[in-house]
Amino acid sequence: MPDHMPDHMPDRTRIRGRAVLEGLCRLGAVLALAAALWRLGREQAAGREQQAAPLVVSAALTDSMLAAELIRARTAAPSDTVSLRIAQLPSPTQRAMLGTLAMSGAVLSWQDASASRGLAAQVLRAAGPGEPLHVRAAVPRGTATLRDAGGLLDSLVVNRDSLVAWQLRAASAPLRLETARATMSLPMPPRSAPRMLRVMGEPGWEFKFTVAALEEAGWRVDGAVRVSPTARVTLGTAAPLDTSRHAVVIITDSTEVDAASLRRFVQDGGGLVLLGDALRIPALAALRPARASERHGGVAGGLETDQPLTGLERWELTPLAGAQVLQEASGDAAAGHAHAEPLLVARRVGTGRVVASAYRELWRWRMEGPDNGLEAHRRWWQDVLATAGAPAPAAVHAAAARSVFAGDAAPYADLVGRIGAPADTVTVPTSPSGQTAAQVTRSTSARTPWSAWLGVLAIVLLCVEWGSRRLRGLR
Amino acid sequence: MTPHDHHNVAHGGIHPPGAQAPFVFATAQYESGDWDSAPLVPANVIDSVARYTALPVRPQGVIVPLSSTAIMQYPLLYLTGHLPVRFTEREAETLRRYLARGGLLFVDDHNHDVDGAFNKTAREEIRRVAGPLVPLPNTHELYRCFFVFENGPPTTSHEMNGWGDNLVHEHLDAVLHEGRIRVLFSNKDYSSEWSFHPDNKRFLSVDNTKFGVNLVVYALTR
Repeated sequence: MPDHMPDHMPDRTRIRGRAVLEGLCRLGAVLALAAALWRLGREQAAGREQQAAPLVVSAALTDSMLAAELIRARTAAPSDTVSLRIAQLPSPTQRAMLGTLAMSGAVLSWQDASASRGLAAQVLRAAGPGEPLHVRAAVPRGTATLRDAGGLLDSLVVNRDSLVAWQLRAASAPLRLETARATMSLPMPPRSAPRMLRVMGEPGWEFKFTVAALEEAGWRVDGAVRVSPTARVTLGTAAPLDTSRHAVVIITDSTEVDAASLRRFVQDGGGLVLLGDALRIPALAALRPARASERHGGVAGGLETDQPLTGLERWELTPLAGAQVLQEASGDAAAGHAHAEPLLVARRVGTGRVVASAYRELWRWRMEGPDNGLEAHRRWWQDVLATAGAPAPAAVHAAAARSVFAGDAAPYADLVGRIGAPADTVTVPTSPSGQTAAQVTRSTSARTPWSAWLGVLAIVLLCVEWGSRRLRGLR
Repeated sequence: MTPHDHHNVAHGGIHPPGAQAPFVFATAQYESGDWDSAPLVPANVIDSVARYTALPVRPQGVIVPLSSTAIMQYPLLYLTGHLPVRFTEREAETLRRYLARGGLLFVDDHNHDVDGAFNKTAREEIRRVAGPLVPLPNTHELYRCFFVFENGPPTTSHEMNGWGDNLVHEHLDAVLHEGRIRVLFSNKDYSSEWSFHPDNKRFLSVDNTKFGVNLVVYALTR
């Protein structure tokens, strides 16, 4: 390098370089600010769009369209809230889709524009002599009140969306179900012509007291018994056997029967009870649920004990294929039966059911049994009729809606159960396993937007440019 | 006639497996009065039941003390007499239980006398045990369940024989429970009318025991 070269040359080069750097910083800051402003505008526009136009679930939205929309929403912004405006209750498939989305951890927020009452109720008449009313309702959390024309019938407080049920012996129209949000008028089904029981057998005490027990319990009974080759005693109308008229046929002993009509009756949904000796009727061999092989005597004096049925004669039953043992006696080595003995066996035949009882001469229970023999005999018959298809009403209970409803019976309750309550009443529903399924809220995204990062970048660049100039002694 | 071993009859020792136990005609033995005043009636009714129906019937009847729970094995009981009736407390309690569970008691006034001691005392006892007796309509199914008696209970030849009240009794009386007869009370003296040997029915132009068949058929079916 020559000695005469001026020593300020490197300074000029550095200064020029610093000036270029400062220029680039200014340019970068301007560009970053411009980009931040552009990005901010887009984000605000997107936010406004999201706030203003939630996904509308209406009749026009098909299942495939909803699926496409949900996929698009989740793909575009996996962690954003999916907003819905439900104008019509979604179809079962749509509810399943939304439920699945909620279960996957998505944040769902929905507005209820369906004008649904949040109530679903059904009134049925149970089979039975009095035809009691069964009222079942899916109700939201709070107080549910049932009234009829006579005033308040009952009220229940439920802590969550639930199924509640009432059993009413009688009610006067109009029947109304009330909750905090809605009142629902419940149509009462008309009383049907109650179906009868047909009792068949030989004239005798078993026939007489079977009919008596059933009539005392409120059933209408018909039948005919042959008392001589040319004479019959007829009870009731003795109309032809038909499932529209008769609920159950009871055969009390080994009487003569029309097996073809009985088979048709059971195939069509009727019930058939074969009592003791009736299991030995050859014509009914194809229908019977158990084979009666050997007759055992009752325990002497057993009728007067607290287990009076031990005092009755009974057949040893061998259940046939497809039959189900409903009741059995434990083995009694002293009596010569070391194994458990089936006492009540049932089998489905067609759409009907055939029930076999091992006992003979049940009337002795009523006449010779303990003080409660009369009532116990009636109750036994009610239980047997229930197994044969004429059930006594079940006990009233309340249970969680999700475990009871498949959904279609109460679509609103099903929707709430799957994705939670509407945003106006925010709750945190749980999945059937008890874990939190979806957080239902109007939350916004927690991510820092690009516009902010760009703004920070612009500030940094400007600071660098300012620092560089100050270090050079410029202002 | 002596009391039988009821258990042998009631628990099926004499009928084959699967067969229905036969009907057994039971006469009530009570401590007061003359409960055994019509010993031929059971055989005559049994004969008629066997003669006209296909019901399995035991050839001999039984006599059952009214105080014994053995009466529960016989849901139709026949009770008659001439003398005043006064049930012991045990008899009354057993009979009350018997009727409440669905047994049927047929009481016949052997005096056919509404002013007689049997009628007055027996009615009192029935009222005490089962409630008041009321006239049984002559259209009741008892009169149609096998033979048809258009005019109600058949008149007996003894009602106008110069003894008793010398009246034709238009109807029978009954204690009813839910439409079923619990107690049937007669002043027509069927106990005398049916007191003859069954072989002598061939001398009758009309068998006067037919109403007894209706009574048994009704008891076995209603």
